[in-house]
Amino acid sequence: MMAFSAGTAYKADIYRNMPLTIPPKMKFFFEETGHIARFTGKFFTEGFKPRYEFQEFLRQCFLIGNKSLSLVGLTAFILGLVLTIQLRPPLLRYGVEFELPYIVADSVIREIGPVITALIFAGKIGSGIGAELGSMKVTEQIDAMEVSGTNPFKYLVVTRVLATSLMLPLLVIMSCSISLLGAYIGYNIKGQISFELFFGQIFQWLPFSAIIPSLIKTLFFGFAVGMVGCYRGYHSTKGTEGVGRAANATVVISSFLIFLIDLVAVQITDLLGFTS
Amino acid sequence: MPAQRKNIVQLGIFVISGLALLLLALFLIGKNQHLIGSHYTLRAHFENVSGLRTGNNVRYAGIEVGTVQEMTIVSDTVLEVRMLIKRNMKEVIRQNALASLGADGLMGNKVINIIPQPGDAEYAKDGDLLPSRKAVDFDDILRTLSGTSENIGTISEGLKLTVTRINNSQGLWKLLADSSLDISLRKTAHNLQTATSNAEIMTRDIRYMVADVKAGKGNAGILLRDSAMSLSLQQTIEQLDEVVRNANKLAKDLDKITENIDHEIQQGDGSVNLVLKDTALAGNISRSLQNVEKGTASFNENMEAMKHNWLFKGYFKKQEKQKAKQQPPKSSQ
Repeated sequence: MMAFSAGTAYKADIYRNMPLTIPPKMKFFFEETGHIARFTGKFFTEGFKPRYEFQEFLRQCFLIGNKSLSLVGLTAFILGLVLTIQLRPPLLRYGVEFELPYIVADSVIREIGPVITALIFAGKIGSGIGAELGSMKVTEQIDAMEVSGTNPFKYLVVTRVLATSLMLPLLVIMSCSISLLGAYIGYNIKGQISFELFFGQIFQWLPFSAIIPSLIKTLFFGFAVGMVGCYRGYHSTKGTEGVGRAANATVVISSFLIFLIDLVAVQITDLLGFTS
Repeated sequence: MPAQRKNIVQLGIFVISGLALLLLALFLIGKNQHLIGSHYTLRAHFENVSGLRTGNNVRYAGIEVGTVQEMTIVSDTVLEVRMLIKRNMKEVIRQNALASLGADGLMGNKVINIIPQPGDAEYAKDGDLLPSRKAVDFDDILRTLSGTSENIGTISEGLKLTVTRINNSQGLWKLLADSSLDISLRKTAHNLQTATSNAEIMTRDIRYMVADVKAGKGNAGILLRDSAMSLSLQQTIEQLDEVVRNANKLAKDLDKITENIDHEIQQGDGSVNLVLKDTALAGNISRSLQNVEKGTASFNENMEAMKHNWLFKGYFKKQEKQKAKQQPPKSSQ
């Protein structure tokens, strides 16, 4: 028994004295992952505790949702129009032009609409959140809030992340609808189809499995954009330079995360049989 | 209205419109897939559903009336397809309606067509089993097409052989290359035309002739139509019959006479039988003829001797001169 104890203590000494061989970049990556995980965990613990910053949440919803609608709507309209005009010739070649409304709708609703909207959202809202919180951090407004008795995490982070998570699916619904409107106009530029027939063909074949998984993944897109923006802003350093870095990093990381979540979502929906 | 309140209203409009669009889309999808609304179920059994899937359309006389709800395997050769049908079709679809498997175009989605059938039957109720028809299998079509293509191959092979033979035929090409062929053909056509017109004239004449005969005109007409002529003809025939009978009798008499003569020749005592049958007489006659021949030769000698006799010499010379005069003078060469 004694021998075992002595041996264990010896091994512990070896590990303690062993030099850290992890490369600095990897170490930084793991550290960041750990920090983000803790930050995300804090969102869930703080978010469900009263007191709720409802007014700030509504204000953020307005700023994030309503203020992005024009940009998202315009982009979506162009997207639907262009997609229809470009898809028409190959479908004509194969003699399946009548399938164009459904093909455009399926691709817009399942993939293009959510991903493009989320990327625009990351560029506009994610960078805005990162820059706003970063400037508050470097000007010590967050510290001041803490001193004044307001929970800055609840007020700044929880409200923004909830707002991005809920507003992005709504924006995606809007953008997909506007895209289909653009597709209808695009179809009528080259060909001719009635409004009723166009949307009739879409909803004749469109399954629920195209809409529901798409909305669920946009919820995660919005959460990722909000969380990354808040984290980078909340932890920004080095003055005004840090604000710019926070905004930039938010866009880059959240764009990457959007594609990563999309990949995972496709795998899950495929496993559950929602892709057909 | 304060700015913050205005923002909240705008936010409310945004959220409500987004949710309304989502609900509208879900409603339209549900309506098209017959998940919303009042429905009843019909069943049909198939041997093979050829890739039919849950949610595929069900059509009645070409109109969409429902969707495929479920497919279950009843036994190793029977599949049961349950269909969700709009409730307003309860007063339309009868129990004898035929469920048939079809497709939207050649490559389109599978559909079930409910085809109304003649005859009186009760309306189909919830859970009723409709009779089904075997689907036209694409493999069967391909198999038939394969047989057809083989036949086409055989036909084309035969055609190829025929064309080769035509190509190798010297006579045909010579005929085609003959520049006078058209003239010959034209002549032939002309001759044919002439022959046709002649035939027409002949036909017309025959028609007239027949009409004349019918009218009793001419010899043939009289022969065929005149009753008096018919009577005399009958008499003539009777007389001919009599003549033939007499001739027959005469022939018999002649035959008898010939027989008698033959008998007389063979067995009679007359000179004919003696000449023909007596061999001694034949020898005598032969000898007599030899004597006559000898006598004639002796006479010729005597005559020749007389020619050289001075008494008759002058007579013979005179005769030769007369003979020479009677002959025509010979033409000089």
